[in-house]
Amino acid sequence: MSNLLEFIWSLSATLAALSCGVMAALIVARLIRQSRDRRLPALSVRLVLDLLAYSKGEIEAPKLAVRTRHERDLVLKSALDVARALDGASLERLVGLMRSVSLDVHCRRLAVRGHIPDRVAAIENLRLFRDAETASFLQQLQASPHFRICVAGMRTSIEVGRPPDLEAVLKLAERPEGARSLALFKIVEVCVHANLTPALAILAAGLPRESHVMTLKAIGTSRSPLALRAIARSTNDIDPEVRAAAITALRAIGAADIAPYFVAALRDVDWRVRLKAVEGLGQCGAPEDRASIEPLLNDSVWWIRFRAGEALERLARAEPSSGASALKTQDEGKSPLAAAPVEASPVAEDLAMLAPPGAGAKVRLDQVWQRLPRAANRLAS
Amino acid sequence: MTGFSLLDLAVTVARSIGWMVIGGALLQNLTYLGQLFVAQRALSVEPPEPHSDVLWRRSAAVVPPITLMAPAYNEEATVENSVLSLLALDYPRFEVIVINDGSKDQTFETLKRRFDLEPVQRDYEPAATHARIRGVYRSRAHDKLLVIDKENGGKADALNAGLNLARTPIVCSMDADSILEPDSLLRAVQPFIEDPERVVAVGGTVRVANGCRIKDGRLQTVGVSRNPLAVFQTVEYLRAFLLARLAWSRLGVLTIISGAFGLFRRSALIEIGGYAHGTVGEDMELVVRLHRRAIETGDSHRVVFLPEPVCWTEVPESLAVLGRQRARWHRGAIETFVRHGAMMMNPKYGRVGAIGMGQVLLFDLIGPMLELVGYTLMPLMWALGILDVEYLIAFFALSIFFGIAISMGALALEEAELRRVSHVSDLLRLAGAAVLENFGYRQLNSWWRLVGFWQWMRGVKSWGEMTRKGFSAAATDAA
Repeated sequence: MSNLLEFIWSLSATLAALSCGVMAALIVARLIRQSRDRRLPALSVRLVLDLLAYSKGEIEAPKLAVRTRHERDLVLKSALDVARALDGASLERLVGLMRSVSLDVHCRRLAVRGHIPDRVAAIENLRLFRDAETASFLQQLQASPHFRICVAGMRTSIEVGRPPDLEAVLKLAERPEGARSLALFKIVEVCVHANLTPALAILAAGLPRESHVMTLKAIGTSRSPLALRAIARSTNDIDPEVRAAAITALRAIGAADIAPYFVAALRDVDWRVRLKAVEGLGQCGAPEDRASIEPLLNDSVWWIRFRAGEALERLARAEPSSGASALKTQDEGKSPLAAAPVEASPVAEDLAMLAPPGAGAKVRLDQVWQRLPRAANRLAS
Repeated sequence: MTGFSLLDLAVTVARSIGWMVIGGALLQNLTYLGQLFVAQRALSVEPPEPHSDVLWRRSAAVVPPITLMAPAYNEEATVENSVLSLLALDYPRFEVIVINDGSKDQTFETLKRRFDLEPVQRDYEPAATHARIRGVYRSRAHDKLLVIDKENGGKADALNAGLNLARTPIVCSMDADSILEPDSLLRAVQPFIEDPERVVAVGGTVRVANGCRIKDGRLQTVGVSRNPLAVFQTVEYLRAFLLARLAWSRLGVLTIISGAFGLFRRSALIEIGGYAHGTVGEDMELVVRLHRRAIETGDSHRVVFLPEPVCWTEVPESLAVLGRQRARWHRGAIETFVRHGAMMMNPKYGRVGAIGMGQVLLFDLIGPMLELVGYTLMPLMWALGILDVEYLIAFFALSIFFGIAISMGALALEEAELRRVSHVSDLLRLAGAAVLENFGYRQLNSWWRLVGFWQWMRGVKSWGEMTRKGFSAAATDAA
């Protein structure tokens, strides 16, 4: 029993010593950090000023302290801040200086080992270096099986002005999870503004529905008539969500000759497609399209009847064959949607709630779909 | 002979109880130690992103809209600042619904005057039950603010009203007297973006605002209160959130998300009928019910705790109020355990039934009783001469040093990974509290828990009066 007593006391003593040691270490570490942090703002400001002056050729290369990781991070952060204000030769000088102290190598090294958040941060820092070596490295990262690394690689690649690797984008698109599709949406959205090829390839590849829908939406944001044919093909897809997304994308593109697609979609068996089509026709159509819309005033879905009424009213006011003018009005935030009383209609409030910041009347109706059945039930009751 | 046998029996029983007390304490401490290791691992493998602008750049375009539901009952002292802090959050799309739960003070009038409210009509489906809504108001000054004025029905009832009127896929429940950090929503929503199919609830850390400087609903500087009770609670909150919840979350057995700050998938809450009435531990009950429902329907689900989205709350600085709060919390835990006792050790409920409910049983139900039995029995056994005083002191010392070591571990983790404590003097004060809390405060806590148990036995349902100074007063104190 005395052994037990000894054990208890020695355990207690160990715990006490451990606690004191931890406390002492915490205090010492805090004091060291405080003294370092106190110097940090001055250091940071001086570094930024030096880098700026050097980039403009006003001074010789400053001596950069890059021994510890903390120092390297500080230099990189300052350089990224300075880079925002530079272009052309001065930016080249700055990047050259960073390369001379091997910070590109440091970022690349960090990007392939260690914890994922550190790796993602290192990959994002690579946006400073726009050379072929970095581009090829970023391309390699895009093949990473890890989602966050892959997406970081693609985003940085886009930021340095290179379209992401098509194969990698296609692989990403194959992942069905919602978040991945959202990431894909952002990537494709950026892609399409520069070069439609990856997005169109996704459409042609027959990928999962969610990816397909996201790609269609992203292409729609490009407003490029080049995508019209690819989107039009999707209006005949077997999946109603894809068809509806295609109609939405067509409406966003707003080319002059899209009305026939809307007219065809008015007869779709799925109510969501009909809803999108009637909304699209209301905005992009001409008075002569009113005859196609009128049958929808008797549609089984109340929301379509409501939208059909709105579309007819709008087309009655429109000039003959003035499809594009409705779109223009919407862009300027003067669409009837924008003018709709928000509190008067719960659905209108839904729309206002879901509108992206600063988007005015360009509400994301597709996100309201999930609420529509409920709203319809409420109306019916 | 008979007398000798009875004494013998009494000694044996007393010794058995003594060993049970020691065993229970050891098990508790070992669990804390395990939590410390799991939490350390979790924080070092995936430390929170230190810069919220990076988060903004990465995810602002894809975040879902959120409705913040803030029930307010007699909160006239704090409601204005709290609502201001909510309206100032850095999040792309959100709406704030403040639910005035039939306050007897000037809460609603304060809101009406300060935010220029006008009555509006908002239709809703009564998916979750609640008391009658007297009116819905929209602020003319802040279009993101909606105020529901309803008859009193309790916090769960108020949250149900908010849930019904919310129109976003994610809802955030919080206390109207709490202050969210500007980036807390952006941080807390990350699991919903990364794993949208499975994540049903996300909780964040709740920290003690007493001693911090708060202005216009925004936290200016982090400090530690001079009130010893508030400092003890600061250490306690650190231990509870940084160790326990983080560890349970990593193990997939988290059974509580603090009512002060939690994000939920609205459809999941609607499916289970919203918050439960008739319990004072509605936050815990809700999470356990979410687990239960998901397991019973075979849905893969996750309840996540994140250490970095931070919500600041004012804690009681008087023994009477603190005692009432702790008794109520304990009553809530017992009510939840009783309602969902069938999950305990039931293989159907897997880890949640075994570890999640097991820890409720060990820490919330048996723990305080064992501790108090220990405190009364050990000296008794010593007085009767059946316990060696050396053992008594040794076990007590071990229990104290274990407690101190765990608290120091939590402080070390905080300092290494999150660094929220501003000054060395604050750190020292917290370390002092980690030592001193073992002499009196910890025992009081066990006593309050026992009071909570007694109240539950008597069927007490009330929340008890909670008085608050308000953040302006707290800021003055800090200054």
